[in-house]
Amino acid sequence: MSLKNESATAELKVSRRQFMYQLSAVLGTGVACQLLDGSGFNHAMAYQAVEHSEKIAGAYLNQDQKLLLRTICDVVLPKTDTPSAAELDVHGFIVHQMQACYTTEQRKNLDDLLSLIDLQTKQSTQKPFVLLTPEQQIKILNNLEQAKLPFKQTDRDTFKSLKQLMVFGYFTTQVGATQALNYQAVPGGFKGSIKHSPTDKAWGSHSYY
Amino acid sequence: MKDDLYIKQTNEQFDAIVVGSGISGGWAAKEFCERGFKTLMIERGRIVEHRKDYIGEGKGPWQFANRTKVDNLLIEEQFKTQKLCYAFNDATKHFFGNDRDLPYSTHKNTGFSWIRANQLGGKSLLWHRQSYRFSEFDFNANKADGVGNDWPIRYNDLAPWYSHVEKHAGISGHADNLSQLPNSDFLPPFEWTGPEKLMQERFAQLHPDRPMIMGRAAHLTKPSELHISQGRVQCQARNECQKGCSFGAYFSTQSSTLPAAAKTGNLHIAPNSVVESLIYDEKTNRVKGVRVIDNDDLTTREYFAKVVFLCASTLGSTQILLNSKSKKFPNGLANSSGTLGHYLMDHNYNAGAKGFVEGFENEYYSGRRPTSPYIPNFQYEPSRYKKEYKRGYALSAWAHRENWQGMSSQDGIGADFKQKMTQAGRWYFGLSAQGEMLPRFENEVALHSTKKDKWGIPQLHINCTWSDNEKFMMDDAAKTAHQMLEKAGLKNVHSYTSYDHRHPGIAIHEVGTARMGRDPKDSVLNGFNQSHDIPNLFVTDGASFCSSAVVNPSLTFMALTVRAVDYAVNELKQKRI
Repeated sequence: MSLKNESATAELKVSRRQFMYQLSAVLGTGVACQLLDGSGFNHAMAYQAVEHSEKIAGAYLNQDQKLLLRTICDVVLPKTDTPSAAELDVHGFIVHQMQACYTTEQRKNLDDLLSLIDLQTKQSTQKPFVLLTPEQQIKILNNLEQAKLPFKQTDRDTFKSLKQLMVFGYFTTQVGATQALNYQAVPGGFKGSIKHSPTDKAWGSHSYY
Repeated sequence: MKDDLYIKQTNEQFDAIVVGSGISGGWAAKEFCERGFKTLMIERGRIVEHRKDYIGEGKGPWQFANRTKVDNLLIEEQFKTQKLCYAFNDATKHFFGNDRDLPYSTHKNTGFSWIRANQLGGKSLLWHRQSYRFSEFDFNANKADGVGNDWPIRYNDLAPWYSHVEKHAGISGHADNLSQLPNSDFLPPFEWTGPEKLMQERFAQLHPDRPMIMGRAAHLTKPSELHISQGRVQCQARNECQKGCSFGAYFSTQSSTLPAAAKTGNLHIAPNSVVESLIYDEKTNRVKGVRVIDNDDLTTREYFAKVVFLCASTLGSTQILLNSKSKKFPNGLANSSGTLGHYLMDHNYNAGAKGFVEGFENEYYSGRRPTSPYIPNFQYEPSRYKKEYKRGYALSAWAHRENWQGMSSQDGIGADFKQKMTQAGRWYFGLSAQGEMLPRFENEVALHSTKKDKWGIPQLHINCTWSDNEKFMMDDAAKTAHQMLEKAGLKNVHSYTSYDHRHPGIAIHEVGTARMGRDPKDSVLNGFNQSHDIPNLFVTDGASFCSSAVVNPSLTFMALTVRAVDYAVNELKQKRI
């Protein structure tokens, strides 16, 4: 960490102390701490990750499609020093979110895309997608993303939407937002310029999603 | 005191009734109460308690049912219009009006996006907090180019009242000493990012007439003793303001005016009270009070006072006047001029440009700044107009590093793609136009001839469109912003206009429809926001505007309101009203 950054951090620490003092004077220390921790909020309604959600039958996508979706999630966002998308049940979240926040047409597009990937894979390799080697899986998804035959531009568009939802699903989990990224629940003020190394994590806390 | 703050039935005659509890209503109530006047604030919606009812605050996205997105069916059934607001999400949706319960219609082939916030605090909970004074040029604009009626006031009439509200509300900003955008009484400004400073320097060289300043916002960057005494503390740069802020770091009714008003012991609040109409006494030519329908059980009741302030939002206040008919005022109370409902305006936020800034890879920012740089209107007098259209626009600016929200559409599969999503991307910088909309008689709101809402009140029917002046302005703004960014050295510059599919209303700066003026024949209110026709009736929200100017209107709602209260109090004391 550079000198400039250290002094910025120190400055924020001092201002945070002053802030705590102000806040405690106004609210009382207990409430002030609770506010800054962001704890004490009920989140029973949120989508809860399930181990092997693809094995649970539901109204949208059959179990084969869910397994395929799980596999695609893991190819696009594999395990590295942070968990893979499937380990965070991003595929389960996608199934949930498609039903809650997307249109019938969008649901059908994804349904059709998964069927198409399955069909094309079986035709070209005589195997289901989930049993291919990682290299083969990446190649197929790259072809899809580049709209290379047999995939069309509309297939690419649907895949792009799926990828966007996948990335959204990953970085809005607690692990994704706070471990894969750097999360500031209460930043303590705004600093316009801090030192940054291109390999540092980006902020995982956004104003609007 | 707290126990009897909220009331339902009462026979008491109050000194003042304030209809509405948003930015204007909060100020009206505070000022009356602090002058010793027994005041009743009437709110059509539910009570929202500071802190306690900010149910979306402090949560991570993983703590929401759909990670902050709102359920499709719910949007379809209840929030079809409200969802158009940038701040509408699962953490804020409870502060937006329900479109199913609050219907309105628009004229054939027109649209108007009416964003609602019917609860205690109104839109003061949801506003974008940008705070700018009108300038002398703004008050002179209608007279200077002959569009609309002349404002009956000038900058000097309002300047001390701007100061009055700014000290209490807390406005962050820098004293830029610009005649087109007068200084406020400032708290320190927010900091700039590196690329923004670079662009500021380049613009200063290339366009000396278009200085870029830090956006002025109602945030406590450094709270004064006065702010701390209101129970407010320093802004923590979360920029999640519309969820409600327990720190009280931005100005809202709940954080600022309500506690001050309540402290006096002179305030009562009637929540869940939908004002159906005003009670008018033809003999004395005074309003005596208001007729209210209960928000929940639809029973009716009345409240009485010596003076009535309408602060029910631009369209809300006008709807009440239109629906208050009498023998003398068959077309709506205080409407002898026939201008009530006309000259509806919004701001035109429908053009912009963005591009990438090279370099600065080793710089980032910390925190989420709740404002952004701003280029004030640089066509603020006729000699500076473009020949295709009248008046001008401001440019709101922003610089960010790309994050996964933008980069997830890029090509890539696997570990490299994943890593890219976790890193700060390129810097980009953009300009978004905020254009003035001309006051035109044709842009009108009226009561629908047959349709009523669930309280039995005639629905509003809105006929409002962008004129060629607004379209030409946005075309020019897109072109200008594009050129400015290219000249300043940005890469991959793209510009856009969006007036063809974004209707008026969505800037949520609706103003006009009960305009001020010197002449009772062509205006509803005089220079003190007092009805020309009925001396104890005032309208101090956006309905009173003669022109939209370019700047965000809320600070002017505040200043007009406190000035009108000061005047009304004096008139009451002198027994003239």
